Amino acid sequence: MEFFVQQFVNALQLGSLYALIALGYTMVYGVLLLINFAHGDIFMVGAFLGVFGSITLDLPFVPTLVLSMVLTGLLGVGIERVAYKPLRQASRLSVVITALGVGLLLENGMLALTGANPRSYPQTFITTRVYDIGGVAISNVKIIIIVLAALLFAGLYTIVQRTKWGMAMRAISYDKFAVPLMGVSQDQIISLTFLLGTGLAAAGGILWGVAFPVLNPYMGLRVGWKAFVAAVVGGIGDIRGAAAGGLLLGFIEIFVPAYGDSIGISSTWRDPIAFGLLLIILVVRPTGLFGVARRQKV
Amino acid sequence: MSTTANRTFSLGGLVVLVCALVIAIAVVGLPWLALEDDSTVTATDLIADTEGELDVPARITNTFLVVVPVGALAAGILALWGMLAPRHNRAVSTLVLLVGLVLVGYYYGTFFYEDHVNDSTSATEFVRSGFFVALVAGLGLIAQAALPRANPGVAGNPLVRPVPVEAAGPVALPQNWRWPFAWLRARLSPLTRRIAGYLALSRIPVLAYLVGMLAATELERREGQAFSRLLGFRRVPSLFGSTELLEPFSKLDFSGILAPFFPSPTDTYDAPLRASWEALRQLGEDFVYALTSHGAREPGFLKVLLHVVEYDLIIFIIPVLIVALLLRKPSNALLLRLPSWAGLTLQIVVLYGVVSHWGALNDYRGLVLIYMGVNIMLAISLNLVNGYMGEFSVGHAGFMAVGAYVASILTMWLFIDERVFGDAVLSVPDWALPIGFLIALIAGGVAAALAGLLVAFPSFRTRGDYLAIVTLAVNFIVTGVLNNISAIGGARGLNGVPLWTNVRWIFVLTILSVLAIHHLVSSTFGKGIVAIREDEIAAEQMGVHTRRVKLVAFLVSSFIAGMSGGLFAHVLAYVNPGVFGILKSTEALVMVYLGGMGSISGSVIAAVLFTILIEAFRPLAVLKWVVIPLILILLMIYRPQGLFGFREMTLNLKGLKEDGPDVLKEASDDAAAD
Repeated sequence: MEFFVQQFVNALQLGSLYALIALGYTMVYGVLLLINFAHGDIFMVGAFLGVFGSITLDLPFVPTLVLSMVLTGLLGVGIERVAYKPLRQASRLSVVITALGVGLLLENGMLALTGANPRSYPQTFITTRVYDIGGVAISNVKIIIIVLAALLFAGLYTIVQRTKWGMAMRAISYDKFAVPLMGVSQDQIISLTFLLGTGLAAAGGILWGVAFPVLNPYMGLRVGWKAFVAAVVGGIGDIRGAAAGGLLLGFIEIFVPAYGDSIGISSTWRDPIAFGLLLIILVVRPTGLFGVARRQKV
Repeated sequence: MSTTANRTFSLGGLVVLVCALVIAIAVVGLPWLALEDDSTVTATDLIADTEGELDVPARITNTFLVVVPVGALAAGILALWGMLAPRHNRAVSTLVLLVGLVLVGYYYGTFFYEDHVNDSTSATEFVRSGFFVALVAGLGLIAQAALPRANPGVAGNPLVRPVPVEAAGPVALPQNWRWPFAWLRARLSPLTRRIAGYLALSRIPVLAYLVGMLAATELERREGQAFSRLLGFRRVPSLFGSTELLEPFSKLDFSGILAPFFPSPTDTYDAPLRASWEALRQLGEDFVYALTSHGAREPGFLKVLLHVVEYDLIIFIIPVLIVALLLRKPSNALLLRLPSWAGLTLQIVVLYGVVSHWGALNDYRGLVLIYMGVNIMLAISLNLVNGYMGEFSVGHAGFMAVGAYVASILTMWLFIDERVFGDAVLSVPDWALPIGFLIALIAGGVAAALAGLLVAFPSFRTRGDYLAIVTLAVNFIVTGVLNNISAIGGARGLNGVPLWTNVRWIFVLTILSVLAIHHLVSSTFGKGIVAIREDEIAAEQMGVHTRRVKLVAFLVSSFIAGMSGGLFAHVLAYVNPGVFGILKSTEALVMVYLGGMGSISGSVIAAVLFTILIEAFRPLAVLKWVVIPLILILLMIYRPQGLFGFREMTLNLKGLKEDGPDVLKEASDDAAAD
């Protein structure tokens, strides 16, 4: 039972990280119908900006987090303005290819400009304490990650559901031709979407760096694709779906090796299993758990 | 006389004559002058003397040697200016002249500036650079003399098209920031069209070009070594000089710029800003050195560029053009007389001659040719799905991985003795090994096609983004599963794959794949593939069996990708799942979108270009994967349809009647009008 609870907390931690990153994918897709393949690398930039805040500027945890979220958010808006906006009228595939290119550019540019040494946050960033609750060891890092992710999600959900900006975002994803006619600036809403999505990715990056303290320019590759799977499993375009997909993926990735070892499934199988699940869900429910099929007009 | 009066370059024929004389002196006289007094040194010695060890008389460095090349270059630039002047505003012409003069001053100034260059070295350098100078000047003069001006009212010249009056005036530059591109295109395309019209290059059949290339490769085999020494290359430039071009930049280190702001636990920076500034300054210094260095051992980029252009012009471009122009009429006549299959076969045979002859010069070229073939197969197979059928597959490397592993396992298990699977199961005589290899490759392709079913079945229900995700997932599943099967090495990969892929295999299989895809998409069945791209529901209504068409397209595509994987494995000598990751899939996508969707010739050209590009950027190490995505992004923004989007290159494969209408030209004009 202790083992189960322990793994449950681990899964919750990993799942909320995936969910944070998946939110960015899903928001951008909802508004622009663009799979932003650069998102994983934006997550990496967020984590690196955490190094900048915590070591170079010697800031504590919360200011570092805010600084990284703001700077990364601005980077996201900049990428949209420079690379995606000129392609607003082009075929959607060229935007996707551009996104792939931007991702490669970010990770390799980071590698070229900063060198290949792995980074990590300083010891004083978050002093680790481990609490023993009924035989289950839970560190304060895990609690912080889970609570913070939940708060950020709640904040985002409030923005999307309760504010005028959020209403405009939902309206654009519903009908992007009618909304500008109602006097809503499409460009502003898209920028806001990128700001929020990439800001959350930055938060995810810093929390990831706290939980798994090896940062390198290629860290976004793997995590990014996983978060993408989470977004699709949940039904890309729906933020509740992204959260649910992220948590589901986290649980699979923790529980498969935790209980699979006894039946010969080692932890290296978790990638094929995660993607296999994706495949099955897409075949059975092609629009994901929460997605709504758009009817195609003939 | 009236012609002279019409030329803006008023000195006319006299200047051309003087320039020609100067150039004749530069080309013929320079080596002769350099060696006049010293009978023991021959021209060949001087050419072979890349280190500047020969004792060439010091008086050779007198001013005459400076005056002649500078004069020749200036004459060439003047001639170019004369050609450009009537069509441009004064600022542009002056710019051309200024750039030329700066180049001349820079190129020759450095010889005196650098202390370490002794007299004899500089003499040899002068001889070498004389060739380039003469070449530029000569091209300028040829252009001046050969190209008729586009002045309105030059009567009697059939090649001159009447130019609208506003186009002849000063060119108003567009105000937006894209102007360099629009400006260049507006300037270059009439110029190239005029040159092409004059030489009627589009009327020359491919056969003639191929024979020209054969001649050029033969020329290179005989003279390449000596000529590349003359230009100061250490060895014959392997890929038309592209690999040598970026070599000077290989020592640049960008990592210091941002590293101080993102310190790793092991290093500390007291003043990150100053450290970063210092790194930036050092980088700037290194960059300028890499650009301009004139040292004998590490020539700078500008100098290498000049020599590369020189080498390619003299060894490849000019001989190919000469032979092709000479053979235009006979090869057109020959192709018209032959049945079309025979003409095609003949051209393929000559192409094989060119490829094998060119590749035989060194092992590296052979290797690059094999990579080219693999990339061509990968690109056209992906284009069948992405370009012709309009689906979006982003996981094509997964099929390649299946083909590579199955083919490798079969050849290793069945035919050779090695450590992973032990001794060969079948004892096959040596002559039959190629048959075994072929069977293994086909088996790899079939296995990849079976993996393609994983994508084909979901494609019946899902389209667009979701299908893209399916292909992505298949890629990850394939590499993930391969990572976990320890019997075939797991993540370490499979070592000891026999090195059986050679240029002959790759040539034959690539040609077969190209022909197969071409026949598939131009068949009635293939029109169904295109119909699905245009509108799946309408296609279904018109009687296209969309499920079957999709199934076949995915099967064929993954079969060819699997074959290319098998060939790839047998040239790498080992396979590992990491090779076939998402990066490889991205490479395939880059090739398809660079070449243009729905275009086989585009994919082939893009695959060739991309392979050369990858090799050319090799010296840049990490930066390679910064530059390639940048190219991709710029391509998507400025030319989203790629080089040949949805159309094929117009090639004269079957011969043209000399007096018949120029069908090809009209076709390309139509395409340009689109």
